[in-house]
Amino acid sequence: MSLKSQDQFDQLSNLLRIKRLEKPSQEFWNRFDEELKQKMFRMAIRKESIFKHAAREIVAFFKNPAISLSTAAVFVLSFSFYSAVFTPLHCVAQDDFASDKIRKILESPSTQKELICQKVGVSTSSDFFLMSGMVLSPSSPTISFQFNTAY
Amino acid sequence: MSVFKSIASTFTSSEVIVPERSEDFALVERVRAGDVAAFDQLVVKYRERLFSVVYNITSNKEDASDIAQDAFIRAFRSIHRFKGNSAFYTWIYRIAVNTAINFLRKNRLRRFFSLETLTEEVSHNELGNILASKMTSDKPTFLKELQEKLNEALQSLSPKHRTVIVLFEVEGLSHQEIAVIMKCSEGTVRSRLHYAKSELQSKLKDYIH
Repeated sequence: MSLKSQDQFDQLSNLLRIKRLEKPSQEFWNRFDEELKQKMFRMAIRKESIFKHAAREIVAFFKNPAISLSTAAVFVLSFSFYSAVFTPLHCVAQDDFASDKIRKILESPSTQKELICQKVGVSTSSDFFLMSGMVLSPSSPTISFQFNTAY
Repeated sequence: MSVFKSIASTFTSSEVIVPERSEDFALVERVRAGDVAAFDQLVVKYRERLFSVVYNITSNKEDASDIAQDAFIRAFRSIHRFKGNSAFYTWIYRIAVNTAINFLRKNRLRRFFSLETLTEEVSHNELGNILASKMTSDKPTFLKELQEKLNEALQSLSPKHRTVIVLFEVEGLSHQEIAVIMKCSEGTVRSRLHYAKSELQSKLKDYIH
């Protein structure tokens, strides 16, 4: 950069420093403070939606590493326990009474499936298969009872 | 040249106050502990500088007032996120600058300028007299005209170039501080500064000899 342009840059810098002298009055600052207080007050009393509040609380709760680790441990243990106790249908022994019944239903014609589903008390056959095949095992007392009465 | 040396002497380096980090951290800690009055102290401490930055970016004092208030509210809401890796004022400047740039993006077509009046200080200081004596018009008219020309020239720059020049020339921040505020490298700051100065120089050539 030439000396002349450097000098002009310096002159420009000095000119721009005039901007420092543009200052609002005390009256402006009084109004500024008042408006800021009102805005902060409005912000404080503004109601959050239930979901937003819940999400914020949950995020805040799990930010603690001890809590998040222990929760993860509980989930892992619960899942292991659940897997051990509530075994899916296809793993149930062949001589299980309810398992045989379900196998018969699965192998039966579709009209018969719907009839059985009506008797068991589930809305559609797909719901029923979901219940029987994936979520609940025949060892569940309620389902066993429903099977006994329905079939 | 002597004119500008005189102008430079009217602005001493002590005008650019370097805030004490520890004092700000103590106030921030008090705010985190629930002491809202401590936040009021931070507002009083930084409101003028924050307003000045935003005002010089927007050239509208009403908008600048709203944006500075919004910046304080945002800072209050997210004060728990302030880690203390940088000074509090660079953190709050960043919030204000981002809020101002977002505002300009959203209101690209709505541009009204309302200028702040120059303080009485300027009537009594050497700067006004020297510059006015060089012009044919009377001093208040000249100062008003100069003020308008400066704002017009600043507004011709892009928001990022304008922000860099305002932070450096008006606020007196260092390249490093500006780089932290604008989340870019010091090299980028220097390059933007050089470009902005060249642009302003051509726009304000009537006042630079």
